[in-house]
Parts: sequence; structure tokens; C-alpha cells
Amino acid sequence: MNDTQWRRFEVFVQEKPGTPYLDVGSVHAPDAEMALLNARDVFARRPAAISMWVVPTTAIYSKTAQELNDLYFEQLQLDAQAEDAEPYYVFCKAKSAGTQTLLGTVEAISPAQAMQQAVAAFSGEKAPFAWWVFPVRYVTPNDPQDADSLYAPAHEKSFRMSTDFHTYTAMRSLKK
Amino acid sequence: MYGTTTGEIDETQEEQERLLAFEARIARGEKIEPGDWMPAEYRRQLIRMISQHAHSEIVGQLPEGAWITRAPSLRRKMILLAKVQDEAGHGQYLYHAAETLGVRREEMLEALLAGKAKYSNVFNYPTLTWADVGVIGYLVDFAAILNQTMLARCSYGPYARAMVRICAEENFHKKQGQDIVIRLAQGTPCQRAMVQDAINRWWQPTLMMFGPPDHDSPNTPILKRWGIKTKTNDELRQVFLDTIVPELHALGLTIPDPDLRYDEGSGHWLIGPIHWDEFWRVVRGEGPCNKERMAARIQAHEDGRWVRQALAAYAQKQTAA
Amino acid sequence: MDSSLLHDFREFLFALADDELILGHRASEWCGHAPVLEEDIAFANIALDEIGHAAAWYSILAEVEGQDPDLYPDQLVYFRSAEDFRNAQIVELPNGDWAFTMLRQYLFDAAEKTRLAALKRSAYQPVAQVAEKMLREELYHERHTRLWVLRLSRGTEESHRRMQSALEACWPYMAQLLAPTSGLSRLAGAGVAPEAQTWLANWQATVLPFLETECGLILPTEIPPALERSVHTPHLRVILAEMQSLPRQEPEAQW
Repeated sequence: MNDTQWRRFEVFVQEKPGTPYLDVGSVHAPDAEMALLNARDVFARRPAAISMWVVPTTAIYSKTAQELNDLYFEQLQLDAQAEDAEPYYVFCKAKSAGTQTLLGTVEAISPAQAMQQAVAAFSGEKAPFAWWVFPVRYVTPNDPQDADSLYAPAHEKSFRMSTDFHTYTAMRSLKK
Repeated sequence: MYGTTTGEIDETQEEQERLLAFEARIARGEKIEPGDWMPAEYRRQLIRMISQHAHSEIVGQLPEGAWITRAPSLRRKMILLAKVQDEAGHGQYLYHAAETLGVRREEMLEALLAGKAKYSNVFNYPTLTWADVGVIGYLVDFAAILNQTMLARCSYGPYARAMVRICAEENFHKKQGQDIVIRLAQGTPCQRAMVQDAINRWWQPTLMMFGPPDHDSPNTPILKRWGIKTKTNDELRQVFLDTIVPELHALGLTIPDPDLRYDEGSGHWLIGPIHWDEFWRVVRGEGPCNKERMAARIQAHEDGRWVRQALAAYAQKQTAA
Repeated sequence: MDSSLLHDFREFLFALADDELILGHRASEWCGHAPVLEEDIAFANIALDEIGHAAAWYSILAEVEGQDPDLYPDQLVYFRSAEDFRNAQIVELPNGDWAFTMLRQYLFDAAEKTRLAALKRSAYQPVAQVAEKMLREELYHERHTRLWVLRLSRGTEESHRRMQSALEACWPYMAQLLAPTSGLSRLAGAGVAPEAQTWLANWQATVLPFLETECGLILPTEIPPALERSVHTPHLRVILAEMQSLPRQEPEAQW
């Protein structure tokens, strides 16, 4: 059918100041600039964010705990041609019902090496269920100056909150 | 049997061990994440369910969307727009969950538009009056919430997370619908007649949303075993009835089922036969709006093709430059 | 508000409100039919905001006229006839293809953004407050539609051709959209509304170079003179017949 739904971008949201970025899902977009706007419309129709990142889905290197168990680190394909080290963001899913959450950064020459370092640096007492790493340069963040126009209007749209409808009270008064 | 080579035995044994470990994880309440080992059938069932679910949201924009331009107050218009927008959003979350299983949105849409994929039957019925918008929100979305609340606890991480997000928003959908129904039920004689007529038409399609009775639902046992579903179709249908029947009665509305009765012994509302012959007819594409719904989706897809291509071409030029 | 300005102020507010309402109506028709799922969501957001803006301007009208702000906006939307609407014709036109829809929305949003930026400083406090909130949304709309117009103009041959046709289709209607409403200069004198020449110049300074240079479109040279805002195309009656059908059928009812 020769259709294109464009590329995919993973969307990360910061909900409140000082909280880590969380993975919320993905959007389809032809480029990062549009992905960021799409992300806002898809994931912040209600108050949900103060900042967002989009990252091309293909740039994300992921391993679940099970995959890491099955592999020895030597088997992680460490890129032969060493390039300059660059910073990578490290995300992990620590709780079973949780989502990928930002932990910090590592410096590495390849995604596999970044993964190796992430596991070494950030494994706590209980091993996370899954890890994501990607180079910092793949992130397109919204301009902090735009945050007000992107995220503030959702606070005004009380009519799309379930709390705006007093159906319980209405039903209770009927039953009396 | 005699010809089995050692290699194959090992493979089967390994598969068996993997399967046991997988089922043990589910029994412990762990979520399966993309990249984890999973039985091919688990993946297949999830893709089937999630993409059907996504398609339902997309097609589900149409029946209610038809009333946005005719909504009878500015506030109702904005609420309805927000609601239909949410439905597109839910489709988006769900396609994402399916994409994590390795299927592309292009493929899923192609299957839908080629008539190879199913979507919820309930969207193949027409919205004839404004009361339909209320009744869809109140009954259809409440039925959806019961199913989705169950799925929010399912064993596949991305599906469960999409569902948590959806359930939070569905509550608004249900309440805005219920709010319309309450208003109409207490309104003018014409409004009361309108809402009763809508209940009469949507009652059976809503009951069918939970799917065929348990004895006729071949996928349920494996879906329960793998933690995708935790309740059967009939169990969820009963929860729906026990909540909604007293509420409709309190509103002075009647339910179009002469056999409906309260069973003191079990504490449940019992109903007469569901029109399963009609259900299967609609599944086969013979519902009142199947053709219209598909035609609308195909047209949007075809009219949008040059648009999607243009933006892809622009992006390519930018990368090349 | 000085009572000598009341008539001009009403004309101004009706123009603002009716433009938003009718364009929001057109935008809402895309709901469920957009070219890609993400845009179903994004364009519904624009429709929703425009209708919300209309509601806000109608509420100010209620205040100005001493009417109930909860009831009067719906009265104005559902029980006025076409000849009493003060929207520009461009917002009545059917949606056409996605190029026309996006370009019209962009031209409108750019005008809206410039006007709101000025209205934020209105001497009439309720207008200043509403404008400030709306401006946040309008900045986003303008950014969204601008990205789209650029990409469609510079995408494929087909998309460029469609954008050029859309521009030719929109242009004859722009004069009416941008023309000052009657008595606007008196409102500007009182600091209530922006000076028409200033915001028109601002609009031109952003929009014209963008369309010509960044998008590579050719601006039509012939611009027919602006019609009065009381002159409508036949489309408005069709829109209103649909929009108003239910409340008019049951005028005593509450919904």
C-alpha cells in the first residue's frame, strides 16, 4: 500500500519540578520539531507536564533484566571502531508496574558500552526490570520559554476533568 | 517420534523451561516487557487484542464525532470535542503498545482498512439523536471502563500502562455521558422520550460489548492463564448489570428486556437472552453502519496520503541538506 | 466603558467571537477524518480552543450588555440568524483539502496572535485578562500551523501545488478578515482595542515574508476590496442550520 505513518519518537515527560523524566509512550512525526508538538497534544491534554523530550525510537538501546541475564557482557556488541566518548542518558524500570525513569548519565563510546556502565553504576539492591540508554544529543527538548504556552492552557480546561461532573451527587439525590 | 533428533529435543526442552519460567513470572505478578521472552501465542493474542482495541478507538470517533457540530450548547460542544479527541488519543496509546510487539502502525491500519481486522461492534450502530451521545458515554464507556480496568492490571507492561492512562480519562467520558442522561431524564417530555429511545436502541449492543458468553469464548482460558484477562466476559457483564440497572431505574428509565429481574438469592440482576445472532451478523459486516464507518476511515486515509508523503519528503530533504 | 463606545465595542466583540465560533466549527469537522492520527488530536485541540475563545468573547458581551454570562453566550450562538453574525467569510468556507484548511488556519492564527498581543494591554480589564490567556493557546496554534504550511509548501510537487491553490483561494477573503470593524479607531483611541494599522502592519511583517521567502509561494496581486462583515456566503446558513437545529427544536429545554 506504500503508506507512511512517519517515524516514531519516544516521549518523556517531566511532571513536576525536580522529578525525573518518565517514558509515557511514543508519537509518529516526520521530524523532531513536529514530534514535540504532537507529544504535547497526545500526552498533555490534561495537566500532566512541565517539560517534554522526544527521542527517535531507533536511537534507544534497550535491554530487559532477562536479556541481560541471558547474555554475557562480552556478547553485547561493543562497537569495534571506537569513537569519542559522549554522554548517554540512562533510564530504568525499577518497579513491576512502573515505567522507564531517568536515573542519570554515563559517558560511553557506544550504546552497548553505555548499557554496561549503566548497569555497573546504577544497579541498586534490587535489579531493575529493564534498562534504556541513548545519546544525550538525540534528545529534542521543548524550549523552557515555550512551556507556558504548551502546558498552562490544560489547567484552564476543567470541563474535561471528571471532577467537573457531579453525577454521584445527582444520583444520590434521586435515590432518596 | 522415533525420528526426533537430539537437537530438537533440546530445543523443545528449552522452550518448555522458558514457558514455565514465563508463567512463573506472570504468577508472581511481574510485567512482561518488550525484549523479554514470550510464547509466540502470547505475542499473537496481544497483537490481536491491542490492535482491535486501537481500531475501536479510531472508528469510535465517528459515531459521536457526528454530533460535535450539532451539540446543543457551547459547553456540551467543548466536552464532546474533548471526548472524541481523547478517543483518538487512546487509539494512539494503544497502537504504541502494539508497536512494542514489533508490528508497525502501517500494517495495522492496512489490516483495518482492508477489512481484515475487527473493531468493537458497538460502533457499527448509528447515532440518531443527541441522547445517543449521553447513552454512549454512560453505558458504552462504562462497559469499556470495566474491561479496561481489568486490562490495566494485565501482564504485558506497555498494554497495562496504556490502559492506566486510558482509564483515568474514561472516567470523564462516562461521567459526561451520565450527566447528559440525567439532564435529559429530568427534562422536557421530548427530552425524556429521546433518552428512553436511546436506551432502547443501545441496550443490546452494550451488553454484547463484553463479548460472547464464556462457553463460546475460545480465547478466554489462555488469556486468563497468561494474565491478559483476569475476568471472563460473563463476569464483567454481570458487574455492569448490577451497577447500571438500579441507576437507570432511579432515573425513571426502563430497560428493554421483559425478562429482567432481580435474583434475591444471588443478589444479581438477571437478563433475558442477548441477541447473539445479531452480534455475529454485525461481526460479519452486516451491521447498520459497518460500510459507512469503513468508508469514512478509508477516505480519511486516502485523502491524507499526499499529506503524509509531503511531510516525509520535506523531512528527507532536511536530512539530506 | 464609555457608553458612546458601546456600539463600536459590540461590533468588535461580535467580529472576534463569531470568527472563532465559525472557524472552530469548521475545524471540528475534521475530528476523526484528519490525515494522520496525531493530527486528529492536534486539530481537535485547535477546534476546541477556538470554540473556547468564542465562548470567552461572548461572556464579555454578556457582561457589557448586562446579561447572564451563563446563558447569554448560548443564546447568541443558537438563536441568532445569519444576518446578525459578524464573522468574516473566510471562516465560513468549506474545509476543502488539508492544504486549504491549514493555510486558512495559519493566516487566521497569525492575525489572532498579533491582535491578542495588543489586546493584552487593553484598557478594558476583562478583555486584557481574556486576551492574555488566549494568547498562550494562540502562540501554540500559530506555531503548529506554521510548521505545517512550511512543510506542505516545501514537501512534494503536489503539496506545493495544493498550497499555492490554497493561497489563491484564501487571499481574496483576507481583506475582510483584516479590515477594521466599524468605529475601531474610536476604541483604539480609548485604549480598548489596538490601532488597526499597527496590527495589520505586524501581521504583514510576519506573514508575507514567511509565505514568499520561506515557503516559496507566490502571493496573488489582485486583492478585492473588503466587504462589510454583515455580508455572508451561503455556507453560513448551512452551518447555522446544523449547529442550531437542536436548541431551536426544543427552545425551552436545558441541555
